[in-house]
Amino acid sequence: MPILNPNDQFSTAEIAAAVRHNITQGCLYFGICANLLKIAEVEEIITQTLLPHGIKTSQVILAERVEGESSAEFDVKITDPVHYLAEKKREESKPTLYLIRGLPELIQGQLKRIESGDNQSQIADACLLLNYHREIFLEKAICAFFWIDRETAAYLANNARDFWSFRTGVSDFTDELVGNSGHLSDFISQKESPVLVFGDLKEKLKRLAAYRSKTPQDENAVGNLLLDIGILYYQKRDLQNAIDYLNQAAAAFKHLEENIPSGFTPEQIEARKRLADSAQSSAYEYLSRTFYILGQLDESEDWVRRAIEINERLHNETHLAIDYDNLSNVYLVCGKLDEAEFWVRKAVEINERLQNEINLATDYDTLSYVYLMRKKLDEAEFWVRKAIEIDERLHNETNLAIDYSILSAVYLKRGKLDEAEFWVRKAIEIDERLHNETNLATDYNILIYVYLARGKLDESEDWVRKAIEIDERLHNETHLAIDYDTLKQINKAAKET
Amino acid sequence: MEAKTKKASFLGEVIANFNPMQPLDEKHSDWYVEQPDSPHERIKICLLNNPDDIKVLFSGHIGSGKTSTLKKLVLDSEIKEKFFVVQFSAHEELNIADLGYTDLLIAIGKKMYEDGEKEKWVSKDLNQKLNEWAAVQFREWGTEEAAGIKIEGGISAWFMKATGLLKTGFKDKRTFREKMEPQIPQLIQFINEIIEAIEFKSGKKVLLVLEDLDKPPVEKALDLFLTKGTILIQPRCKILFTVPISVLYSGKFNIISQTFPIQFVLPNFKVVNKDGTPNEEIIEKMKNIVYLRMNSELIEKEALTLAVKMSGGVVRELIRIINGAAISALAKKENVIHLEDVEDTVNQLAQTYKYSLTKKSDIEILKKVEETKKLIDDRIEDVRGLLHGQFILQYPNGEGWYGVNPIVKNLIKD
Repeated sequence: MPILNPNDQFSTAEIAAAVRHNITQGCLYFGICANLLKIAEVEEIITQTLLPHGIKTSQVILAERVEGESSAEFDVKITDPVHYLAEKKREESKPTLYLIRGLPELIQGQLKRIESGDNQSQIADACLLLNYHREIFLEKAICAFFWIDRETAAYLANNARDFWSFRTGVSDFTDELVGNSGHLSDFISQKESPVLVFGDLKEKLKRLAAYRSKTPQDENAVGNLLLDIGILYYQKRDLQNAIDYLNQAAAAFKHLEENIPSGFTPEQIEARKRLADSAQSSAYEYLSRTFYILGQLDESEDWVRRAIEINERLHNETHLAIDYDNLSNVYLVCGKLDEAEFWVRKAVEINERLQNEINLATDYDTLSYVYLMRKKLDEAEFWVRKAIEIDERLHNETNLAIDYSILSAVYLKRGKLDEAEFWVRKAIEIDERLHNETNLATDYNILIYVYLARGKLDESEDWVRKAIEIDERLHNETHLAIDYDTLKQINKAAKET
Repeated sequence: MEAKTKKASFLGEVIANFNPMQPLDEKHSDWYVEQPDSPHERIKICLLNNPDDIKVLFSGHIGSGKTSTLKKLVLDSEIKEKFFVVQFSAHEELNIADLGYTDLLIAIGKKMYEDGEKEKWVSKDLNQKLNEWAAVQFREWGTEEAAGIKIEGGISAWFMKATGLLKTGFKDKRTFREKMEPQIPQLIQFINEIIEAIEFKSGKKVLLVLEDLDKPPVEKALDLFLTKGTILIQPRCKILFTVPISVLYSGKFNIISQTFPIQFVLPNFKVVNKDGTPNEEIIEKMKNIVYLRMNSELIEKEALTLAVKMSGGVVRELIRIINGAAISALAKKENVIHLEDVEDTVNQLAQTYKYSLTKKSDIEILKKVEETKKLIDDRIEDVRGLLHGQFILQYPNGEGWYGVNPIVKNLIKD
């Protein structure tokens, strides 16, 4: 799957930040791009970035109504795109960013009619109306992102000056996509906190050195760079470096919190503490995950509990729900199922209330696992099917693969091997396509047991060795323990036959 | 005055407080910083002291703060004490894509009537006269529906139907305008009677503020003021019209100014002197715009200085630069706006100007303006376009001069 180049990644992060902080007032953003693949990619990332913050996206396609064709085929009448958006917004229950395509084509169509003398106006209607009704974006707090090309940007700048003057920003996405060297799931994982880190590791290390050499030091910038670098190492699965930098980040923010310059007002002190706390909790969350992968569950529990303490104090519910789910996973692996259920249900309560559907699907998966381990298969199936409903609707393929994998495990426990194989192969197809290697290793493990149950020991061994190869490469100690245990069972079964 | 707005204490709040769409209304009035040469006081003195029913044209660059200045003016206690202010937004009432003077007068009449009737200042006699007139208009209209509501709805229903038709109708609109044209003198008469009723009952003079007339294309705005100006000035009250700045540079403006001799232009902040040296006093004043909305700790001093200089003194551009720099800093997970964030934002803005700079003649004009600080060029339409598009900025202080937008300067270098 192609990924965005660093400039485009950064632009996408900027757009998401702008929308998040303007969602209650409205904003106008433009993206210059004609590459449909890149448009889809950027929209996907923006959608995934905004969802944990309770903001959804909605696609709108502007289209010319052709004489005789059904108006139901088109999203909007050409006469009034602004009032259409206002009406759509009125019907929405959730804060929404409208991703709008088709404006260049609409304007071109109208200009052609002007040239042929069909229209008395000299300016495209869509342009005039956007200009005249621009204040509606503010009055109705509409957040809109228009995909346009450079010619349309120039046309709007010249013919809809007031509307153009209202823009929050314009991002140029006309650079080439990077080749197929990465995958989106490197940046977005269901169990990750809503902190997406983009950028080049070398560049960030260079900047860190530069900031550290300044006097006085910009402690905020240093702390954030340490955190970014730690997360980037985590994403690359260079876990020792991840631990090192995340620890440094946590220390830097603690220092920031405790050393307040004199002359700060109470308001400034509070803002500084809130920022430092929030950043510390991110560092703790990633430390917890790192130790979880390394199989050091006591440390993992310790760090996530520290994050929970901060996020409960800050009432940072989105993060809290993720922390509860991660703590639940720690107990799950330890076999403490009552504790696992307790914490994941706390996460479910928050995410259902905040309608954070992507994270909710992850919680349903965890709950399904709990019941799977209790051998309560009907309940396990109930919860994973709830997760599937959400993930299919949101086209969240990474999580969908996990859901299919769990459903496969349910059928495996029921002894329904054909169904088990059907669902796990669906998971494998997705995870191979998206290069989700950690999940792939889990899928292989399930397939192994299907073959074991069928008495196909050679195939089982092939698959477990594939899983071991992945988990060794990713230093996934927790999974490796499971793989070796499986290999032991295969060897035992082989001896008995 | 108690502050109604919160100063930003972290970058997320900076993004919210620096929204380019947001004018300074009552809720945000404590962010207002008056331009040193703002005509606000002069407009106020003119309105308060001139005994005649003057018609005033008010103009300025896009984003200079016209709407904010008008909002401040109508909230002024002295203005409120002396005037019953009728604020009218053409885009709310009418289809500005196809705006005629008939439409405007009908909408003015509707607004005047509604405001007066709400206070119960329109007498029974006047109401009866208006309703009888409306009944005649409905019969003239000749629709079944019109016949059905000719007695019950009266003048209110007529105004509603008329503005509704003018906003959304197509074929019927032309017919309606043709039928209304002979009725315009009568309509103006009624408007004046309503004004008189309001003034008599309220003890105040009526001040009509007409916004959004700077939104139609320049040609349409010119047509309104040029060919129909003598009709638009007939309502017997003071009227404040907003006009696009490029109308002032139209070759026909000297004709318009005979009908509208009183004009005020809201200038940009003069952050640079004619000789190119920075105007430190004004730069500090513009910085105050930023510090009123955000904690000073959130931006490096040199970053703010650069943002002010590159805004060219246009308030909305400054807002947009700070907004963009805050977004950039936040996306990098920093907590302070650094110089490079402002530089990156300015570069991005330069790119958007570049999309419109496709003609060689435009670059020639800009180079000439930069050199001479004057707006002397035969290519009037191109000059007007560059002015309206903020490639050229006007600094009407003293004798006045023109400069190239600082963001655009690098684009025209060889």
